[in-house]
Amino acid sequence: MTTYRVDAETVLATGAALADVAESLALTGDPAADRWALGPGAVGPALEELLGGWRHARLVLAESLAGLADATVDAGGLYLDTEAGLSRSLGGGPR
Amino acid sequence: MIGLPPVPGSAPGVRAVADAVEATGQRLAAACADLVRLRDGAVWDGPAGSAFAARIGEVPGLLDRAARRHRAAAPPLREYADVLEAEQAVAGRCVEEHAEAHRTVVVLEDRAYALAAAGRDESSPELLLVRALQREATAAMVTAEARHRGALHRLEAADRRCAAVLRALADDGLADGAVYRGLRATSRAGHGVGALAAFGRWAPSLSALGVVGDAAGTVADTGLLVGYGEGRWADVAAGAGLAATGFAGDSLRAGATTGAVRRADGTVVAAGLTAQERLVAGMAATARRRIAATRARFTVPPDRGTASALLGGPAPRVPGSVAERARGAVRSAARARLDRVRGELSLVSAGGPSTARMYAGGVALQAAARAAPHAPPVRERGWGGR
Repeated sequence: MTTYRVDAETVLATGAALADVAESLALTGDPAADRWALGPGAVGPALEELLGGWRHARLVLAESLAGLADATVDAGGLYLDTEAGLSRSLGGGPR
Repeated sequence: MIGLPPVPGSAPGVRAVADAVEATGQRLAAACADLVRLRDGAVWDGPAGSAFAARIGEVPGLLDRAARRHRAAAPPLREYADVLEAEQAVAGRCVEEHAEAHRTVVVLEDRAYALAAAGRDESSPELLLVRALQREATAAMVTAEARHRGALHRLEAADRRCAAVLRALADDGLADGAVYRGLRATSRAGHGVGALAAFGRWAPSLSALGVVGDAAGTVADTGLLVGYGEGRWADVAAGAGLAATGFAGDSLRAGATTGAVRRADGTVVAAGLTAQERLVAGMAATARRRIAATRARFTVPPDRGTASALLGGPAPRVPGSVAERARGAVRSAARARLDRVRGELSLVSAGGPSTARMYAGGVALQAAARAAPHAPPVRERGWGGR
């Protein structure tokens, strides 16, 4: 297996992306605000439940991602196998 | 005579929600894929790297489920939007036809009254014609009502289908448990009632009620902290102290913790956050600051992307070093984000103030709290709107 050294800059870019996702998860808005568009039927409450009814897991996830983002500062360089190629950035993928 | 009601809802709004939810799911999935790759495909150099890999742990599993929760919601929402749009159009035509027919009936009735006043009886040719025209117009009203009912029935069926899919998606192990929901509700309600204590100067009974309410909220806060690790003992202790002195309430609590949070995309979230949400957001902001400071100090030689001397293999023949490509990817991502924000804003502008209010709620990570105004109050009505 061919392995290439991946620069710490790339790891930090990953960390920055994780911090973005963590912050976004922590600050997710109230899905009830969008209910007007959905009409008075059952879709509105169901969507609210889907998007807003996982608050505890969302905050746990956000906290974990923030911790991981912080840890990238210390992680430094790494070796990464390149069987799949470095075709995409480690910066959180398409956003 | 009451006219037919229009069908509430906004198909473009539902599609915007679907797009936003899908984009959120893709973003979570991308983060998941990166972490899986780092966890499973990377050989770390040094203990810090290994410790980082170990910390990844089960986070990708959570991310994957969260991503699915969002991405899988988009197709049923779009399907529902199509039906909503089609049936709103049908119902809209029915509303117009019904109103027009009703106006015709009224005008003909005036004509019939005038003819009767002029001495014509019901068997006169003029009145017979008027009555025939009235029957036609009434039949048009009945037809419009039936078609309107049909549109509502089809929309209700689509609504039920979509809601069933969304409810099934919510049953994925991430959902908040009943105890957690109860504690959250008690905390919110208790501290909400606690706000009444601020009015105790004018109404002593409100002060007492506020103390009781805030105490209940503090008990719930304790449950959230002990059971779910949510919050901080300092906050609970502060809440208990405030409740005991009667110097409590949401307003004071908010005043003590308010601090607008500026997000990475420049938006500001100023309200509606709990202490726990502020805490986690603060952690992320701290991490971002540390990362930015480290990156600022980090100067990358142009040839750092070459193969490891230890593990061998030539560098892949692709333009630019890994560092350059990484920086390019970051720039591309920033450009893409800017383009997307522009696109969303143009959509918001096109959709008018209602769409703008929808984005204020922000079901999507990207759209959360982008604009300041609150959404209009939700009116609980049936599809018929009567």
